[in-house]
Amino acid sequence: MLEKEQFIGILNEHKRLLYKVTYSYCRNLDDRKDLEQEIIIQLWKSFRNYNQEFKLSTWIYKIALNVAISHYRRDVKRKQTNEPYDDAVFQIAEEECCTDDTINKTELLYKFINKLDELNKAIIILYLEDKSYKEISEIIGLTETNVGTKINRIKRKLKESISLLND
Amino acid sequence: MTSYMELDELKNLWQAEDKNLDSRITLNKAQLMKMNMENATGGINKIINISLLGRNMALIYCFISTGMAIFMIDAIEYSLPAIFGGLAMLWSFISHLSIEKLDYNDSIVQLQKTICKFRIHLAANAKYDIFIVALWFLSIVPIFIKIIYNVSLYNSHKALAIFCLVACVALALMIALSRKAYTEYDRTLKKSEAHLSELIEFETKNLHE
Repeated sequence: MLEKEQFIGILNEHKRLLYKVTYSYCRNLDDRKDLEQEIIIQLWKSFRNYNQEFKLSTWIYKIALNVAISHYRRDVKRKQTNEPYDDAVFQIAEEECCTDDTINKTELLYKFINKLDELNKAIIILYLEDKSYKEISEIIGLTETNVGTKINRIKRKLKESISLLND
Repeated sequence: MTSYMELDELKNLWQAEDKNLDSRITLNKAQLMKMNMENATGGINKIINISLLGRNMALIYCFISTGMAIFMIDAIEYSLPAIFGGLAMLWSFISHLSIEKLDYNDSIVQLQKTICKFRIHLAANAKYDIFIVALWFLSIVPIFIKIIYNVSLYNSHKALAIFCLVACVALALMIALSRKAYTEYDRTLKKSEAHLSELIEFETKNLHE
């Protein structure tokens, strides 16, 4: 199989993961397309050096989250000069099947994620993806204990946010 | 609606969203093909590549200066500045040896720390780099004028005066133009240092609690 075809296959297989990362870091569509493009370029550049020791999804998470954090950290100025591509690589169709309640909850979830700083955002995405503490610690570069403490802190923060919403 | 929502329930919601997304997301292959991935470089990598090119060019400039100094070895007024210009370029090359390409196999904290350190290094060295380039030009231009136009700047008061005037104007222009860049570099330096402190705090805070 051609390298590029294999790469497209990997992107297709992990499209949800990549969409969620870009959507969690950028709510603006143009900005998201820009981030999408950067993640794909970095994945392609790193593809030939992919270390088989890592699980494919772990490797993709590392690259996608690292690019997303760097993108998030970058100066606003650059966004004005860098023209995004016309179309998104990951195109999303309108919601059809979901109830208003589910849509609201999902929106609330992204709002909560959006409130977190970029590193805690990465931790919570991995936690929600059901990654083990070991995997999260490997991707983020913290000890498992530290990851656990941070997740507990995010849980506390979530409770506070919810009680604020209820008040 | 929200009263029962806790992180573990959000996890279920997140995973339910997966199934929903699966049917809704399509990979735009046409767009993917349009992207020139072979030649494209993402944001930070572009800056690193330019810095690496600049660093390696400094070594080439050092060789040019050395060659010129050897060529003009009998005329100390030409060879000595060329040696200083070459040494300045060598110093620039050595001081940028720590720049390296990013390894995306590194953990997030590690890679972000590397990016911060790179930005700090770049911003902290920017002022010196501008002056090294200026010094190098001033040391090498008289030799080129001598070789190409056969004009000895140091033997003619008039030519030397013109050269000094042009050099002063060029330096003044460079300082004026780079003032904006300095402010930008200082801003980057402060931001990167703050980000690095945040990263270190993020990495170590809980360990001491």
